[in-house]
Amino acid sequence: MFRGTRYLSALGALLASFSPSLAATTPATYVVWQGQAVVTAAASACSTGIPERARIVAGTVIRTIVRPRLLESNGNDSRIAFNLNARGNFTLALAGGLTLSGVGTYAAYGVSTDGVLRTNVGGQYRAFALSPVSPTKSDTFLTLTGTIDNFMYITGCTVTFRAGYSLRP
Amino acid sequence: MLKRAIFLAAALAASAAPASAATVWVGNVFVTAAASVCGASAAVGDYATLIYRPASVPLGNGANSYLAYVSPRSSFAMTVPNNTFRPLVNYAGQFVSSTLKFGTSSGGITAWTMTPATLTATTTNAQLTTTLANFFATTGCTVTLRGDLELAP
Repeated sequence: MFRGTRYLSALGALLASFSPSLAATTPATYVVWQGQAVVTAAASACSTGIPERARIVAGTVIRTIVRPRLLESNGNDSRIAFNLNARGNFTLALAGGLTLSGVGTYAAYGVSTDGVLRTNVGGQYRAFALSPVSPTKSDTFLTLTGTIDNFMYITGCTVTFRAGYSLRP
Repeated sequence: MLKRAIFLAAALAASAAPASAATVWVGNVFVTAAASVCGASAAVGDYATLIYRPASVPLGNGANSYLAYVSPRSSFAMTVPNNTFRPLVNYAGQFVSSTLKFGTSSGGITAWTMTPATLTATTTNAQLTTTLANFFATTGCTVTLRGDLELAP
């Protein structure tokens, strides 16, 4: 470690307080499904004044991973990730789970398409419908629809999507 | 110390914002060396998209530098607050794994060679070789990355 170690250690400790999980040193088994989401509606803020590399419009296809809670080592919160062209990673811890008729809040982690580290960015999501509602490891396929505000860390960018997933081997 | 850390953490956790003002360079990087302790986190031959955003107010990037290693299903984002990526300084990092674990870490930049050394708004291309410790929040995981970066329009 080099100069600024004390300062970075303090910063790291503070950032770590936002997350219950640190480096992958504990053996664990996570159950995740991976697939693609298609954007069925996107607010103008998702594309207006946004560089081409980061625009999101109806028809945009985004790789996605979903991790329902309470399976194996998945823990108590459900998570979902959207990876836009290997440029932006928008990973959400969903306080209200993956099936939600009303409005829930999320905490987002990852990196925006302009390269900025993003941690514990709050936002809202709604109308999430996962099928089956409570998946198990025997469910090979899942589908999910939903709406997310401030998608990919873009203010005012509300996105509605539908996604299909396959259990990761 | 703590007040400064809180301020910087708040800046890192800044709420959603438009992604249009920054100047970034993007390209493919290969892992050309990796300690065995890296395991599945990084192995020689792995590749990912690298986004480099050097600190520069004129470039619209502000005072903090960022380096993001983004694979199709995971990411490791690093920042050097109020500094530039260069040898013998530390970075603060955050990983999101392919199984959606996330967390933070810090590590050292043990080597950083960029040609040209300083990027401007007219630098369309840059070559980078860098060696980073504690990569992907794995203690002892020192990796070397090599890539050719293009200015993103």
